[in-house]
Amino acid sequence: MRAFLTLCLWTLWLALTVFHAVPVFANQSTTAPTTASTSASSDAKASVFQDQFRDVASDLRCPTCVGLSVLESDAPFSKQIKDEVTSQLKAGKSHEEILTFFTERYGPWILRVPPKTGVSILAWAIPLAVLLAGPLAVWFLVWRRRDDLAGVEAVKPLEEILAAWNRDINKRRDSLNSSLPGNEGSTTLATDEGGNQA
Amino acid sequence: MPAHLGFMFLLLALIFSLYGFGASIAAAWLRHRRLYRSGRMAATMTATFIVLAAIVMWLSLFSRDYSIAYVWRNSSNDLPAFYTFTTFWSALEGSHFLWMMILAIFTVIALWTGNRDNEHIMPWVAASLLAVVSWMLYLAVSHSDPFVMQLPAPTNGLGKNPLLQNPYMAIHPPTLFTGYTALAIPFAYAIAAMAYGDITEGWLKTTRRWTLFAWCALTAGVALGGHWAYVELGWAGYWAWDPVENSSFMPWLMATALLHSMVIQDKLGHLKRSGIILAILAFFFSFFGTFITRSGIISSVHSFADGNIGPNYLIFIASLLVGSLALFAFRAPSILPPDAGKVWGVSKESALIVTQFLLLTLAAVVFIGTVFPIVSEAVSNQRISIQAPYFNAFAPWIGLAMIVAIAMGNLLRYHSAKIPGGRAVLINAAVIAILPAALFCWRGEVFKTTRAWPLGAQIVGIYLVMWSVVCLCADFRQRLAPFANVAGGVFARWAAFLRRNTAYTGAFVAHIGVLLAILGFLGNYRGVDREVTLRSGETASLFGYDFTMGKFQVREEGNATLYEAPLLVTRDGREVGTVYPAKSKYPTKPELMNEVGVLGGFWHDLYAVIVDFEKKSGETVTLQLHVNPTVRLVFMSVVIMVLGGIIAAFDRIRGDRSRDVAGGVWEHGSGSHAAHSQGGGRA
Repeated sequence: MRAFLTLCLWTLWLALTVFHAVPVFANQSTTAPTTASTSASSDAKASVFQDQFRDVASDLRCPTCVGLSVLESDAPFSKQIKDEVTSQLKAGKSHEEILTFFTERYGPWILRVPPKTGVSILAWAIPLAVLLAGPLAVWFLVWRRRDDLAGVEAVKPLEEILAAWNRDINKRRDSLNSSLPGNEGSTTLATDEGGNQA
Repeated sequence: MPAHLGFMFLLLALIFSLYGFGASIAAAWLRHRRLYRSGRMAATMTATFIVLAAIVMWLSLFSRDYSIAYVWRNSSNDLPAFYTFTTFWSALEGSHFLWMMILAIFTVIALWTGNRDNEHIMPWVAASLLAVVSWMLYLAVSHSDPFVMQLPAPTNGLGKNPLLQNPYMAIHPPTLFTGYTALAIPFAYAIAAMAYGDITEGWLKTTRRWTLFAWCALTAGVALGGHWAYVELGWAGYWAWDPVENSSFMPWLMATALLHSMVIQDKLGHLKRSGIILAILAFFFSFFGTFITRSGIISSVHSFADGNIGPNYLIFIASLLVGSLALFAFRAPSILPPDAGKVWGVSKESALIVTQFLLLTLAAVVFIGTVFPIVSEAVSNQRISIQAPYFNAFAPWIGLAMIVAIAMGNLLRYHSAKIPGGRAVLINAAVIAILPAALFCWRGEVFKTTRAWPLGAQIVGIYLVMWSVVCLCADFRQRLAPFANVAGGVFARWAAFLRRNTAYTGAFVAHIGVLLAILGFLGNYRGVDREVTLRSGETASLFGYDFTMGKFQVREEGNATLYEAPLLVTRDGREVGTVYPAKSKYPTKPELMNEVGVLGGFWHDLYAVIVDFEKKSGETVTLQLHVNPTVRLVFMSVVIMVLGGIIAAFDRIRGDRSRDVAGGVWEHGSGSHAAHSQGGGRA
């Protein structure tokens, strides 16, 4: 039951992480626009266009704000970018083509996520590695302990432990006695004659 | 003149804190009791002088003494009294001052209320806290001096940043700083435990209370900051994952992980060292947050080199971290392992470990996302941005795992792989949860999300949250069951239960709060908005709501002039209320500021911002209208979380009664017997 549960949880986690890693490492974003509905109504078309516009605009940063996309910002610079996105979409360019256009013009800084090349790949790889390795570490360090303990739990009888202690104490005392300078035999430390001896 | 007085108070405080630091170190080394008391007295004097300096600052603010540069730069003659008061912390020097003052006050409280069981480590606690206080005082008299003069004094100030003229800015910084600084106490106790060589139970009960207090303050502080952004910045969100927000979130995550580690330490005696590490990291991250917000390093590595305060902060936080971790490396082996062996397996303690893993992973993601642009610019000279989409690629998964971990962790028991009630509880919960999840989806109009992928994520998330809530309630019911036989009616039964289970009840309430917050995040995954240009009397509709513009008006409020476009909102012909979006003009600033109009309900917040208006007549107004689902739920859940934290802090079993008496052994001073008879720390 326990092994089964663990297996289930681990598979679930692996599936989630891999599922999640695919869009991260693929160039296509997860929120790719669905194909335009066949309905001829201009309303639906406008809505699809609006969705496409939002997808692109929310992938570009507002150059003059902290933490906002151009979609969320009304700064003059953002408005320019939004106009450019609108005209490029109308010209039939795809999501990636527009992003590439802006990256070439302003550098990868204009994208809201780091590129998956060069040093920046670390920003993606480290969290993924932690997410994958973490449960493994928890598994090895924590859950499996119980199996190790099965061996430890078979405790030695108390007498054996006491005997081992006594042997240790006697050994130390002997070595102390022999190391006392000059007076071997005359002033040795008292030998333990109590009941603890094995 | 007040500037000189204030500066002198700060200088005196610095001298006292340095003396207190030296005296505490010597007292710890020599086991000298009176020397420690002298150090504690010096800490008290330090705090007193800082408070006196703060009073001087407030008096200068209210007397509009523009000979002080800080007053001149951040206030003006027209500022209302309330905002004059809050100007104290509305710029760099002042917020450093506030940080320092709260820390000094907490130092005094921690030293005078120290438990008798801890008396033998108190000199180390005092030394750690005073080291931090004296370093902050050093900065306050050198690079971040709030009392710099500006002569001859101008007749009016430059005025306060209008964004900060908001009630939330009055309460948000002190609350957040309270949380940051309260984390200094667990940190100081961690250092003390390592310096002394072991942890006692008295140690845990004191640090637990301070951590809980810090956690409540941080939770409230982060949420207040989010609420400020929501009502003031006008982009219809409360959390943008920007570096300033992230830096307040990381200590919260660390403090939360620390609390979960402390539960294991309290119940089983394990994870003592991990508790120490987490206490160090929690305080480090609260300073780290201050560092990246103060130093200008966010905007660019290159602007960082210009100021003096940035490099100083960097040196301090680096030595803080390196020093603490070095101490840990040397001293951690002396901390004794618990008596009982480790039996982890599938059990509550393992679930708590998993929780800590999730919290720390989220903290790692937030940390990488915050510092990576800086590192990248410094290493490869490539400027990159890391913003919300990056964090949103990881956070939901961790949140999802957290929902499951909360349910399982609460249902499981220590040392046992069996859930009381068995699988039936899980399955019943899975069935019962369908109803509230369906209700939430229906009332929250979740099915209006058009895309398959977000819709699926929302439904799965909402269902899992409901399942988790039901599991928690089932667990609560099981804990309540043994109290069914208590005589004296319902009231006596609940009193007995609460007395015995205060900490559990607090945790239950806080976890419900967390789950409701996640529910709120899932709900406002999808907001809708629309930009419209309206004339008076015209109507625009969005998501079933009709917004009818009333008469454009100009009115005065405080020192601001508001240009306001009231919008009457109706839904299906029934009146919902009126939103008042506005633009405001402050006397000292040229630009027009956004005053967001919010009309809140449980399911939807109606949120309106004026983008532009016809300046001559006010006849046409361009508006950004938003319908934001379940924002109210997020802020309500924060109140519930804080409430849970407060309840948990009243736990008397872990609070007042100690199971371990280890009086201080002093070699000098009033002797070890007197240490007990005079009540140790309370004498």
